[in-house]
Amino acid sequence: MDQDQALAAAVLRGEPGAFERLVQQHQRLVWHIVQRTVRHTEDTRDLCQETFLRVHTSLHQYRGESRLGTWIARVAYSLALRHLERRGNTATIEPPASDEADTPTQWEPATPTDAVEAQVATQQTQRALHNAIARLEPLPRLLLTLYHLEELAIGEIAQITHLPEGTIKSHLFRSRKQLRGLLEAWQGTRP
Amino acid sequence: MNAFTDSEWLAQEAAFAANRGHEAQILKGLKADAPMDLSASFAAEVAALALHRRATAAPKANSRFENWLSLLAACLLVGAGGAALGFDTGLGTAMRAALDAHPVPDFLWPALAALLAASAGLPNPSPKAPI
Repeated sequence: MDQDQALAAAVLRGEPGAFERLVQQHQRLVWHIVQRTVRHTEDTRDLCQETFLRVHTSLHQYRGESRLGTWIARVAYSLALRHLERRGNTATIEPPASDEADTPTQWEPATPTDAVEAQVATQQTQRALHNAIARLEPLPRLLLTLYHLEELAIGEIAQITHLPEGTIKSHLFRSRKQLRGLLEAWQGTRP
Repeated sequence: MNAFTDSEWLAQEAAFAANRGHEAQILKGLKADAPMDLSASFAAEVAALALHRRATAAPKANSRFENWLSLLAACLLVGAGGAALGFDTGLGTAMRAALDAHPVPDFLWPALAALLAASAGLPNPSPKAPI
């Protein structure tokens, strides 16, 4: 918390390089929040920039009551949500890298050797998983990312999303179960 | 209402913490999903843009005194314009009456003109005026 406040104070004083440091420290988190919500790379880049510009102009409002990352994440999340609302909640979902592995029945080993076969199977599994993650609703996808990749506590996620902790747990439980079920079904039907 | 019991939640948490089997694959899949795609210079570019925006930000809103002066200038312009076109808007008459009753010393006219012009957003008509 102290480091956060020191960094915020340095930015407000106009210390050279301080704001750039702030951006570097939090750009990954902001990217994850926006990308998982809007699911469009170009829009995500613009919104990341907009988030940090907004942070720059309103940093004087940061009181140190939460981690600076949480405060910035709230800005990013609200901008991403507003963006979705403007687009009528129809985020342009970029197509996954490949849809061909989406259904287990389409899987076929590429070569007869065991090692290559295993590698192909892993790749196919990852692709199927990628497609499944892409098809999750934006909110559960974001919650999974914040919890497992950013390793934020449920309480912090609640601060960012303004959701009750029970709701967050519920989303996490259901989406993890859904992904696990997909993997089980997929691997169970593999040749 | 939660769709799971505490023990189910804890079991699922433990499975992910162990990071094995399907849970390990899910975590790996999440990590591989849409990695950050910002350029290496993103932070520097945003910082430069933020500083530029601050430097070129619109000036602060007028103070109440400036707003009042603008209103006064607008009234006087309407009065003078109306009088020049032959209309008695009332403002011109009132202004003439006020000036007859309380003449403005000659040396104050340039300052007054500059003040009114500044409040109306016009260039200073008399560069030597103190404003």
